[in-house]
Amino acid sequence: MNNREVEKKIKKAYSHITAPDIIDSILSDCETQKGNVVMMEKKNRTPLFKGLALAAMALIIVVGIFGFNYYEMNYKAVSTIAFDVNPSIELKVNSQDRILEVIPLNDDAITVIGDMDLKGSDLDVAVNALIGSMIRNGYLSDLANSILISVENNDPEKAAQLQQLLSDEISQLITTNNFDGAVLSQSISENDQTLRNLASEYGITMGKAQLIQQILSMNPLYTFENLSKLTINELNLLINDQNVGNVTSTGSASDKNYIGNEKAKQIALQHANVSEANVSYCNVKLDYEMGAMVYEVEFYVNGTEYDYDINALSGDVMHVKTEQKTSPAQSDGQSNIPANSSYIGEAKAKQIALGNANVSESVLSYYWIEMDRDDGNIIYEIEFYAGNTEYEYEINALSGEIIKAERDQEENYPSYNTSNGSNNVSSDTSNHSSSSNNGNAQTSSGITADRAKEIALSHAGLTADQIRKYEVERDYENGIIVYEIDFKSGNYEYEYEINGTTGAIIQSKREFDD
Amino acid sequence: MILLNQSVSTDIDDIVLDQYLKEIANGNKNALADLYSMTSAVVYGFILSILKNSHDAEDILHDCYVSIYSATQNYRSGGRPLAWIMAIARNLCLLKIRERKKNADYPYENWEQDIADKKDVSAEDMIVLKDCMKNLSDEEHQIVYLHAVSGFKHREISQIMELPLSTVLSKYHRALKKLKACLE
Repeated sequence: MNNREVEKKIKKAYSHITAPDIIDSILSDCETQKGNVVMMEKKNRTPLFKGLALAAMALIIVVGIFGFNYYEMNYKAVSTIAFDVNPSIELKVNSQDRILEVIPLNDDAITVIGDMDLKGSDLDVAVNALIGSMIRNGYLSDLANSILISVENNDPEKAAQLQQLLSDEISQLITTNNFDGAVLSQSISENDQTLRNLASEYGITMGKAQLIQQILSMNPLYTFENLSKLTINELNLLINDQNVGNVTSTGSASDKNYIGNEKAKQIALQHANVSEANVSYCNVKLDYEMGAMVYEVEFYVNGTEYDYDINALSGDVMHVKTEQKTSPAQSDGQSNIPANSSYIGEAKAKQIALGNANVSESVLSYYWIEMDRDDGNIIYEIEFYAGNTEYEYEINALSGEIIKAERDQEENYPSYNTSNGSNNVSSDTSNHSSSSNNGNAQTSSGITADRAKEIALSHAGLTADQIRKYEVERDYENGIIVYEIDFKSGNYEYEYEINGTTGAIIQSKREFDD
Repeated sequence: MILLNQSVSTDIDDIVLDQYLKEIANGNKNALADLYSMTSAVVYGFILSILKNSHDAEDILHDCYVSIYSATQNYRSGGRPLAWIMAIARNLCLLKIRERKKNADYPYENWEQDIADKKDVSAEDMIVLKDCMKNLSDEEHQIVYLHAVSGFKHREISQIMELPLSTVLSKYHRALKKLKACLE
């Protein structure tokens, strides 16, 4: 059975899966989503809860009349206020806006609080002291000026009022320190169980969890886990002045710690070797990718689109993609590749790609080529690795023109044991023949079956006279030549897969043979 | 109103999908319904291959399209729209799996049963689903689904799964070998 047959069987088995018809429920939930988020929180209150709240209010009034509301006024927390910068601090506040408790939620918060005892002080005094300490300790600075204020109070009006008050006060406090602050503020509901679970799971405040959820709803390609590691300033940069749900934002997040849009653009243009005068459109955006803040720089020069990812801290070029925008030819709707004897052939396409990448055959690992249809053109899609760089090419199968060239540096690239014999591999590609299925044939660009055997034996720590039932099969799958080797020694059965081009061991297995 | 497309494969026109996403961004809900009927089978199959529980899969399918609706403003056409949707689905599944880990005796893996109840399911189909796919690791399973069933290219899979291309290729070939051994 060949791969195609296996794939067919799997596809057939899965064709019985049908999606449930839940579009109506999706559509009705989309309605709610576009509404105000604060509305949703209110909706969660059950009539029973409302009844209790009313009863409690009536009780407070009765108790108040008799002058026994001393406890309620002084010792009961009515608001919880959380500050997130990177230090995360929670304040419990009573109805007189006095501090009942200061809770540090991470190590940075402990540093900020130091030996200050803020219990019993007025909210504005405490805020003043905490913001001052954050600035002294460098958590709020010219380089990272964002703070998130989350207010929780059962009375939405009071919450909104506090939110406004704190936002103004903190903006002012930061500004007097010679740089402008960027203040995000929001109200949160203590009853939101999902938020509470997320917050405790990732060790962040409910406020930060709510902010992250709102960013995710705008861009679901980020993950909660990744965003939970970012500081509020970084999150604020990702928000990039867009409107986020019920978050009120003043000031702009500082990107002074980064190289900046202009510099990122210059690095990209220089790397592409084009002058700014020839650029027809350029867009620079800060983004978070593969665990790092990057500038995405996109521009066009003479119908070619360039996409760069530039590391926002170091200015390193992390990813480059160029694509020629040709006018899409009319597709005839068929996915088959029409037969045509004037295709340049796989060997020639490979030569073009390697030549353009300036990579010699001997340093290749993982080479893959496939014919495909793209915008009505027949192309060769080529992918390969050299060192820790991944290359992708699309080459017009008739003209040999490079339609797309992409190179991508992998940071967590798995290391392969390239064979010692790889220096002997000829770099002559013109005679490369992919049709040879003879196990012993020496192809100009690969290793022999004997060499594959040597590699497997040396990995197993055995000599040829110690093994029996030796079998080798040369397979050609999706452009990769693989030697599949099986043999036995002692009570063990060995299985190897050796890359026929590089001699790298793709898979090795030793099993007790009973 | 809606005719569900029964196909789990991606004979789906990217240009049409792009157009739907643009209209959804303008608040056109009919476009969301059209997008759903065109793509829900392939997305649902992928979610099912990760979560292996039809009840959870239905929840995530729901959340996925609600996410799409609120995120289309940020969708930049140019890439393959279906890969964008699959990446959203996968992220939501990973969150679900994290949530599941808290209650260890979660009764999942009921999905083959749902299919077995359907008409036209041959004995071989059940062997493929019940016996063969079980031999694969979760990642192998997802990669095989995306390539063999949905027709994604390996490099698209490497973007959806956030894995290096080399890993996708080697996992795919290892998985096919296991499947071949099971079917022979």
